[in-house]
Amino acid sequence: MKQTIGNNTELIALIESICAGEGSEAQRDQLAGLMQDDAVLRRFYVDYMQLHAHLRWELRARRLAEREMQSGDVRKATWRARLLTGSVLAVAAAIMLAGLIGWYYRAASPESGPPASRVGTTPPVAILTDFSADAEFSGTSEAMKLGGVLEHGALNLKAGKAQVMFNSTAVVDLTGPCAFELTGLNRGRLIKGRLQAYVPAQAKGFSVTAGRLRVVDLGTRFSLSTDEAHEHAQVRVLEGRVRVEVLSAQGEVVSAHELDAYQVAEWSSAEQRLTFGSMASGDEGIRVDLADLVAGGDGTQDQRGKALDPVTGASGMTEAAAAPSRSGDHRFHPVKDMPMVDGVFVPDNKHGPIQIDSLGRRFNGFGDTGGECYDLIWSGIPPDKRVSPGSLKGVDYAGRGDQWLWMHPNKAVTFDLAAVEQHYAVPVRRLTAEAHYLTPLKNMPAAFRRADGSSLRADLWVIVDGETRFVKRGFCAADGPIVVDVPLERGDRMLTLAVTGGVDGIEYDWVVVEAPTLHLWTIHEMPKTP
Amino acid sequence: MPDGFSPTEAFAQHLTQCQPALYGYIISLIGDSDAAEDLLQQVNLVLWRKAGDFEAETNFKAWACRVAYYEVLTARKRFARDRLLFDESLLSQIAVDAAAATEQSETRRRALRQCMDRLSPSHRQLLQRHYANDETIKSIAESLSRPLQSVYQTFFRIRVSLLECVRRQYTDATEGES
Repeated sequence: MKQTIGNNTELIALIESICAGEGSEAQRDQLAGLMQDDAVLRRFYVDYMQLHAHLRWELRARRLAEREMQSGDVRKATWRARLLTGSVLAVAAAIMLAGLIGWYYRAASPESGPPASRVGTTPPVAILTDFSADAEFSGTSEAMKLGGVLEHGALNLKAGKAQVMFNSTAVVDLTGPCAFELTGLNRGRLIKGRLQAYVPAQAKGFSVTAGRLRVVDLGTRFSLSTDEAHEHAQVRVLEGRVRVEVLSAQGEVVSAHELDAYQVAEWSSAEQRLTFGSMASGDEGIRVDLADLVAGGDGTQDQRGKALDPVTGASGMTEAAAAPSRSGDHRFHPVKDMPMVDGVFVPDNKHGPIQIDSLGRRFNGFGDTGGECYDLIWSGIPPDKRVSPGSLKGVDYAGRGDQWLWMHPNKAVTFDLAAVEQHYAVPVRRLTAEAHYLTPLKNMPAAFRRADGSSLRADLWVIVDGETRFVKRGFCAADGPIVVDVPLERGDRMLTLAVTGGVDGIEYDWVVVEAPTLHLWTIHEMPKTP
Repeated sequence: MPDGFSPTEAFAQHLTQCQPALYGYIISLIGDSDAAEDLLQQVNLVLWRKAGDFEAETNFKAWACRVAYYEVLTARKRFARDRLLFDESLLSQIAVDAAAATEQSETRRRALRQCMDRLSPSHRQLLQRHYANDETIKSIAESLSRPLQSVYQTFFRIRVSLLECVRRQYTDATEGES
């Protein structure tokens, strides 16, 4: 059918003119005539128009959200990102009301109506207003539903993004991995991870604690991040003003400081100190693409198609290694003429700790990996003919390979963060990426299939100055994308990205690190104003 | 709505979740995207008022589509002829197919997001210009100095490739579930 329709230029013109809203009455009648007796064409038309509708819905929602975010109308933006039209906004507003009505309704007559998600004996404090397709929640026995009521308690987001709207109308966007506790009608606690809050005027006073820090919003937009031990926490004011309070162990306010837009406060538990600064260039800063660095670029040039050899340290390679599977020599190899790439190596601890950077730091956490690596560290799609769009079962990677670092294990590359900072004269603040274990080939030899039917696995590491900052052990294709989001601190010097073969060797461990990006932004120290 | 009845949280949740599906259903019937948005507003209000008629544990989406179908028929009488496409006989045939397609709307939409990420940057930009920036195909063709029909062809190819990608993903997802 596709062939017939695809080749029928008259039909294409008819359908496209309807889609574009530019069809004449005659064209519409002509299309109607064609569809009247053709069930196949009718079904194609329906599928096509629904795709058209979904494209319009998705892309307009994204655009509206971006525009309104830029103009500061954040509340409208976050709602519209999901709900698109003004009429649906009214429905959304009704949902908030209905959520409360529903709770009282069921509380009064518990046997009436179907059970709602997480409706119990305590009043709801918020509603789940959005979550991404890859959002993964843990610690809840019930599936999270859009529009579902949230009571007091923790929300554990393992991956993806989610948005909750408090009854006060404060909106919180969570980026997994993140744990956030709803502690009241207009307050919460960040247990770990990162959030961004949007607080309209009517929700002024919305507060979030993170360890010894409490951020009280005065009608604005801010972000907050912290580690699980609350050793560090950072508040960034994106718009408006917040009050940052340092709390005693008993929860009493020790000191309070007001921050304006583009100001930053960082809490260090070790130093028991709050430092203040300002962001020079707003929210976004500079993004340095590690795939571009690997190909010889400066991180902004979109260079691809070149590789580093983890066995020798050679750079600028454009053809696959002559012998794809090779043993490492247990040595760190500096990469010449690429100042931001410190070096490469084949991770393996069979013979003890292995050197991971040119400063001589050693690491002993990889274990015995077998010490072999397959092919090179490729920027973009590798030359292996099997790695082409459509060759991987069930997944079409067309158009995505240009964001890859192809890291079939065992491989590691170390980046010199100081060199990056020096090049851009801006501090490196964060690493983000998504790792994918590509589904092995359909025709994978039986010898490599595991007898128990389980998937092949690999490990992903982010090591900074010899310290593991992120590790995902034993991930496989079924795990979906592995989100990497590692905050970086001043003084962090060498960042190592490594992939090892897990417990089952390196065979068919087709691992890519997609869109590996360093985020840079400037914080200027400024005097503390009590 | 019966006196004293308040739509439940579950009802509101159903209504929110089915918005994109309902929009797709209405566009399939009337073709015109802007008119579909107007009609969706109207359908939402009617659904909200009819909340008391909805029987819990039944298929909300199917019920909403039925309501939407009658709203389309009503709108045919109200709107000018050029706002709506087909006669009632064809409309009822399309409505059956559209309601069936609506049942897989969420899965297909999730798949579409992934498929869009795999488009080439230039194709993504074309979609962005048309759908997000509201540029007409005609103005896009003019800005690119390309014949209108060739841009129609490009959009057709992009959408067909997305349809195929969505179908593949959908098939894999449903096979994976079985």
